[in-house]
Amino acid sequence: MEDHLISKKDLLELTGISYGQLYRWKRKDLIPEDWFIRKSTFTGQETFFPKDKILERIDKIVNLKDNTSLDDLADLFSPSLTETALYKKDIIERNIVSEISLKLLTDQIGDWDVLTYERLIAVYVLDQLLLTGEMSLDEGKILLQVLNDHYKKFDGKSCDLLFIRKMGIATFLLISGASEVYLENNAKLVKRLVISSSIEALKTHLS
Amino acid sequence: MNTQDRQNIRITGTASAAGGTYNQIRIMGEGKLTGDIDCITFGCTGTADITGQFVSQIFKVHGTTVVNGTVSNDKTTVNGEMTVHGDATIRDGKINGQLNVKNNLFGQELKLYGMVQVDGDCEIDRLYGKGAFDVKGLLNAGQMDVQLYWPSQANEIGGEHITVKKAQGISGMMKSLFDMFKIQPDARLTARSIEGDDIVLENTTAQFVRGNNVTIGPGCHIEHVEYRNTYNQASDAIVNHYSQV
Repeated sequence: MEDHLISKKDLLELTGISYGQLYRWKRKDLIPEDWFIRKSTFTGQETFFPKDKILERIDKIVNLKDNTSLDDLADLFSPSLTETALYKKDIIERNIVSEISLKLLTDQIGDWDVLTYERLIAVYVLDQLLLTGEMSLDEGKILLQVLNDHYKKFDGKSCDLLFIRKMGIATFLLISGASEVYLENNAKLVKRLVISSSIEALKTHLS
Repeated sequence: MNTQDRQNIRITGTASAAGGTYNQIRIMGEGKLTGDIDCITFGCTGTADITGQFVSQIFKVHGTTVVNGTVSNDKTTVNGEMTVHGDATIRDGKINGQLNVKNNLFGQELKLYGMVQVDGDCEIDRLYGKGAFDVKGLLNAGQMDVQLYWPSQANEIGGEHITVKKAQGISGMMKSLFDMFKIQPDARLTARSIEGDDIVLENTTAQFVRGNNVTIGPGCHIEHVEYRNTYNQASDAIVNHYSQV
């Protein structure tokens, strides 16, 4: 992770944006605070960014900002949940998640008509993982439970989902964003999913 | 909750009240509010001590107010001293006295006619006035136009338009305050780095100044200047290195 940092100066040179834009986007919460990594260098303290994330984000902002207000962009990028809920028929009609995922949810929470945003994200993440083919349906049930029980505890802060398998037994972890994790030799990290990027994808789907 | 359902509190003398949702809170004397407060207007002439979180629309202090939790105000006037131990969000603020924030300060517009002290970061869209500031973290201001009347510090300053000048003349509202002290200290801004689009500085000591258009005025002492478009330097400013990038 450490080698994928870019200094502020290099970032501005690479993307052609100005200091003012960078600071304005930070003020508008388009760039999260925890991407500003302060490290000491031989010229004193410098600010670094996670390279891939920041380049992708700036690319999006630059492309979208002419047609979208900065506040709307901030909503799009924010990992917090908006107060929307969706009807079952809308979800099926707009093909947001597959029917298999929806069925799995129904098995777990009983019959429903309206999905809160929180639940929707859980199903969306489930769907994404099922589509990769790396997760079985039974494991999906555990995932749904983890997300339903614990995701709201992060209270809008960014978090990552870890999918770990050891000797055929699967387990899921929710950890706060960008933290480092080390596993024992026998355990395999099947997938690390940044929940906030799933939310971003979901929001683009919905709008 | 409707305004009709909200009750008023008025404290004259010394008293304490419980937290809750109120319409108007007025404290004349010494008041202690225990718990979280959500009110429409808050006025304090004297001393107020709030132990929880605080939310209000119109907020006026003529005395001392201490909030132990976070503060979120729409319109804020501080004529005395206000201390916030959590984060403070002040949409439209006017500081005629002193504002201390032990965590981060967020706001849209801040008129500074006194002193603002922030232990964390400070994010304000428009910051202007005459006074002084002390920000331990990053001062992120879209438009910043401040005349300094007192030594000011910030670890980093970032923004679009940054103008810091030495106070013009002695006339100013801080004069009476400073007259109490025999010697007026040098109203100098000290910062590690200042980054922005258009930067105009006077009487500033900084390690790095980086921007598109940079003007280094009299009394500055800058280690490195990096600019993209234009660069001006006053004759008595000390700049060790400057380069166009």
